[in-house]
Amino acid sequence: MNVFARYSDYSSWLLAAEPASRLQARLGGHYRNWLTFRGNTLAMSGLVIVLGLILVALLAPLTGDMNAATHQVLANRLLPPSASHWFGTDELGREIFNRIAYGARVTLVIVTMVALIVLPIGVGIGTAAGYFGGVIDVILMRFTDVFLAFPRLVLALALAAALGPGIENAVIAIGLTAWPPYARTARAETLAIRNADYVLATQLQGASSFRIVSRYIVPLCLPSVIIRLTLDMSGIIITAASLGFLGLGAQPPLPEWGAMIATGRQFLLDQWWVATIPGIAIFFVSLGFNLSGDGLRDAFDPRSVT
Amino acid sequence: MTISVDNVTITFGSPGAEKAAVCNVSFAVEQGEAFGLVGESGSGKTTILRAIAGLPLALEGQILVEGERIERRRSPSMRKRVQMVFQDCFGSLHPNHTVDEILSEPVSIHKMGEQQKRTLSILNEVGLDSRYRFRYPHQLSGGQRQRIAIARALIVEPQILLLDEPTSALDVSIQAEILNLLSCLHARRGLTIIMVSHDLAVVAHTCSRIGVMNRGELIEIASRDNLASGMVQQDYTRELLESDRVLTGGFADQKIRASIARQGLSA
Amino acid sequence: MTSSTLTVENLNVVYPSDHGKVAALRDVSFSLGRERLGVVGESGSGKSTLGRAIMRLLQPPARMSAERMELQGRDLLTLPDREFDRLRGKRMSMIFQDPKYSLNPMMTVGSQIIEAYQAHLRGGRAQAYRAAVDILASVKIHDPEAVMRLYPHQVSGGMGQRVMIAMMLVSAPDLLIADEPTSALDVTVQRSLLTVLDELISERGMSLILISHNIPLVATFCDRILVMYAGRIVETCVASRLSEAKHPYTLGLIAALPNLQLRRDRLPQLQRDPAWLAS
Repeated sequence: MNVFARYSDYSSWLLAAEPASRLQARLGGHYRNWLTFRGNTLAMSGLVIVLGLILVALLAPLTGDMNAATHQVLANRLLPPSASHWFGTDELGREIFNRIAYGARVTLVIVTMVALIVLPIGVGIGTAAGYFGGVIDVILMRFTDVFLAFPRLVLALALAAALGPGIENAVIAIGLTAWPPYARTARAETLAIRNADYVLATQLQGASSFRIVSRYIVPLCLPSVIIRLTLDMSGIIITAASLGFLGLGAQPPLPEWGAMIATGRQFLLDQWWVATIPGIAIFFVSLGFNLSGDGLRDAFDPRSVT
Repeated sequence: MTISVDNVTITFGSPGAEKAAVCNVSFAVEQGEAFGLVGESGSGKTTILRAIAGLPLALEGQILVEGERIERRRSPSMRKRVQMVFQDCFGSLHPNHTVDEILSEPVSIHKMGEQQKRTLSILNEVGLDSRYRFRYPHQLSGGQRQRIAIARALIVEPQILLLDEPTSALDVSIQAEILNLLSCLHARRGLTIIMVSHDLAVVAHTCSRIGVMNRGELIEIASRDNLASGMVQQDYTRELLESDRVLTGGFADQKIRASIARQGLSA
Repeated sequence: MTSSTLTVENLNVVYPSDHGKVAALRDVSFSLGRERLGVVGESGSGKSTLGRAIMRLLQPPARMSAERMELQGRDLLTLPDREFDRLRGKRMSMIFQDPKYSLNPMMTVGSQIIEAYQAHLRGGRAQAYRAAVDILASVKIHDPEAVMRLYPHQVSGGMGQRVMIAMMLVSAPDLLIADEPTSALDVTVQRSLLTVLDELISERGMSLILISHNIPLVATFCDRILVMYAGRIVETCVASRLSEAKHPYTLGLIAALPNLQLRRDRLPQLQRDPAWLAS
């Protein structure tokens, strides 16, 4: 009972009509968004999947240590899923369950690293182009167009091939090819905000451009950009998997899901689990990100603010 | 602070296809005076106000504050002296900033210090309780937002206050509160005020002298008494007064006097 | 004794919200003959909701209920949607504040008026065309045939409102509801628009409901006034006798208006009495 009482205390503190501090106001705002998100069943299922991914990644050592994921037991090769080998074994006798779990870590690292590359570059270029306009806008947007002109996978391939194989290079390659749409989104948002009276009011005070862009414009661009990112996650995961599939991403024996599909391909007809189970994992994680992205968009929608 | 607008022409559009929004306008505002600009849409009244506020515009002529030219690059101290309240109180407050952040922003840009003390004091002065301090704009009513916009303009202690249609988006009862607040602040702080509105009655309430603009030109400047009695010189002004009278003709001031008397209020 | 054009009894409109149900209209009852009825109020008073409720334009989650709502004796509440659609536009019409949002930007003015005509009246295209030209002329548009070929964005504010009036009146309805028709317009344009509306309404013997926040305007233009506050009608009076209004809200609103001729240092501020919410 105590727990619930405490919870409702926090809840009313967060939803207070008159916050007493900046922190309370900020947290209250986030809490309200959370409540909207929570009301959306599909979005919550997406979130559950994403959290599941994180959980599996964290608990991977429980399935056996990293060596087990790479430990070959040739006597056990290509065993079907059973009580002792939950997802079966692959062509080198490694536990697939184990490899999926550690592969989750790899997937998480990939998406996080790509996000960390894509967001600053995309938002930075987009807001600068949108705010300053003129020559700067033209130069930055043409630069963006150059990157947009190439099919993403082809460009990632070229970069990965140039940088050499390896998961870090794959991440860099994906990051460098994925940022253009974010720059465009950020620029479009900036153009809409740039002429607002609240920006004008600060400009008339003599605020520096940096201050205006960072405090006024970027916070308003972030929701669309973040939502775009979550919806893009599935694409990023699949691109990484494709690079892995083509041998340019994760290198054996790293348990990256795409690489697992690649090597399992040859056994697809008789030992379907080797390639299919990693495929299902990719499918679920992509779906999870998609659904939560949709939910985020609804939660951030200003029209739903009362 | 005296303001002097000398032969100002403001054009929009690319070279070769320019349109004059303001055409050779000149007027002067005395220290501590409340000066109004009325006109219909497209008359240029808002444009000239924004030029005085410091918006970068293609401007010929000059605008002087206490003899100092301000239409070119402005010093920070000049920016502090001239502050503006915008028309759309919702659009002039950043949706993601609390009232506290909105008010501390100009203080920190001008490096004035004592943010908390100034914030609480200005909130009090515009008639808002300190418990509104950490609310977001969408959690405030229209009248409250306009008070915040006024507070933001006054927190840096300007000498000149520019108001762009400050009450046109507000209900009648809230408009009365805001107009009373402005009169009070005008008197207490000795501000020089320029107010722009399309509503003659609103401008005449606050301002003692009113300039009438049409299609970028300043048609005439009349005192509020002359406007009230119809003693004006230009035909356009007469037409404006006439339209105003026709639209509200059945509603002469006797009705207001009568209703005030019935309510037992003093005029 | 004119028969009633519109009779409304105990109209209620409720919206669900985070804080429970919000009543946008509470037990609103009035009847309208061949006259001009003004509905005034501030934001949140429910005046716009009233217009939309009568025209069945409210969308879920708004829920409307009434004891009685009749147009010329015909029950509006139980009328099925399809029949109501025929009624709406033909017997009763509505004009809105901003023609920018009510006129289809992709169609010429002429084709929209013709479409309105053909939706409600029988007649070939030639007949519809003539009717459209006639109605544009009657709203004092010079060179109606040229205006017929224009698109909404080529037509200025005042003319756009006239076009909207033309479109809504081409089928000769008996009741016109105007929701803030002149609020977005300049004073001189307002005046000419209202003159046009005045003539049309008088000529055709129509009933008008004029919804506005502008009390002096409504007092000048209408025969009777309803004052709304928090979803209720708090006062009904004859427009010319508005100064004899009884409800303190009405009196307070009138007193709070700045007036060119009446010089006051301070405008009387409306003191809201919670008792007004419970009448």
